[in-house]
Amino acid sequence: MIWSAVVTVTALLCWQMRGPAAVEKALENYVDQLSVVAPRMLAALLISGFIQALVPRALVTQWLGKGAGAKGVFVATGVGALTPGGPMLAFPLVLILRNAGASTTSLITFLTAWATLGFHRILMWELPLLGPDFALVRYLTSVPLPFAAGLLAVACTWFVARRRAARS
Amino acid sequence: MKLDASFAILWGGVALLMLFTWYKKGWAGVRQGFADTWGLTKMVIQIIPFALLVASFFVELLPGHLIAGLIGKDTGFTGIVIASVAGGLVPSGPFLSFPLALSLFHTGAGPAQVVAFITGWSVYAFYRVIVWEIPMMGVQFTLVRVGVSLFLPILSGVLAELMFQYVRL
Repeated sequence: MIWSAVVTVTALLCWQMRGPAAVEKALENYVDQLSVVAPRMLAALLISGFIQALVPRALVTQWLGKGAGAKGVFVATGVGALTPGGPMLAFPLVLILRNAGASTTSLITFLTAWATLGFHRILMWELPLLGPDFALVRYLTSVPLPFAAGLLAVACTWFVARRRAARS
Repeated sequence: MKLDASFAILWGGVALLMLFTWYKKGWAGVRQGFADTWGLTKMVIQIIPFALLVASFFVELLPGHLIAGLIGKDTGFTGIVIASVAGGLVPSGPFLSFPLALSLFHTGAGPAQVVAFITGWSVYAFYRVIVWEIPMMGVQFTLVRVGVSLFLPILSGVLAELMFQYVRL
C-alpha cells in the first residue's frame, strides 16, 4: 500500500518535472536492474535462510553476555557482524544481553558491528547492487569502526564515573 | 543475464552452505533452511521490486550536476561529511538505502562519498534511533551510542578515499 503510493508519487513527479521520456528511461533502467538483481537476490535469500537455520541463537547470547573488557569488544564485533536481520531482531537481542549483564561498551560495539559489518546485509544488498569491488573497500573501511566506538565508550564510561566520584 | 564474480560467489556460497547444513543437521536442517528462506522471500518480494522502481525514478529526478557538486569525486572531506549526514537521514532500511546509494553512484557521486553515505546510514540511523533505540534502550544509552559514533562515517569515508586510489571501480 505504502509502496504503491510512493511509486505513484515519484512516477508522477518524474513525468511532471522531467517529461515522459524520463519515465520511459527510468522504466528501461528498472528492467535492466531487475534482471541483474533478481538471480543474485535469490541466492542471497537462500544463504540468509540457511544461516538462520544453522546458528543457534542461545549460543550467541551466551557468548556475548559473558564477554567483557577487551575480549568482549572482539566477541561483540564478531557476533554483531554475524547477526542477521534488521532492527526487529537486533534490538530485542541487545535488550536481552543487557539484562544478562553485558556492559554498555560491548552493546555499543555489537550494534556498530551489526550496522556496519553485518555480512548478512552485505550479501543480500550490497554485493548484488553495488558489486564486489565497492563492497570490499566499504567493508575494509568499516572494520576499525566497532573497535573505535567501543574504545570511546570505555573512555566515556570512565569519564562519567570519575566525575560522579569527584562530586560525591 | 550478466554473469560476474558476485554471481559466482553468491551461488557458490549457497551450494557450500546447503552441503554444510546437510552435513551438520541432515535433511531436517535443509528443510528448515528452505522454510527460513521462504519466510525472508515473502518479506523481500513485497519490497525490492518497488524500492528498485522508486530508485529508478529517483535517478531521473535527481539533478545529477547538483549531487555531483555536493558529493562528487572531487569534493573531498566536505563531500564526505555531507554524504555521512545525508545517509543518516535516509528514513528506512537496507531495501531503500542500497538502491539509493546505487542511484547516487549513477548521478555522479564519488565512491568514497558513497561509502560515507552507507556508513552514515548504518550508524546515525535517525529513523532506527526514533523507532527502536530510544524506545527499547532509553535516551542515555542512545546518546552515548550516537555520541561515540559521530566521527565513524567520516573516518570510513576518509579511509575509502585512500583505498580507492588503489582500487579502480
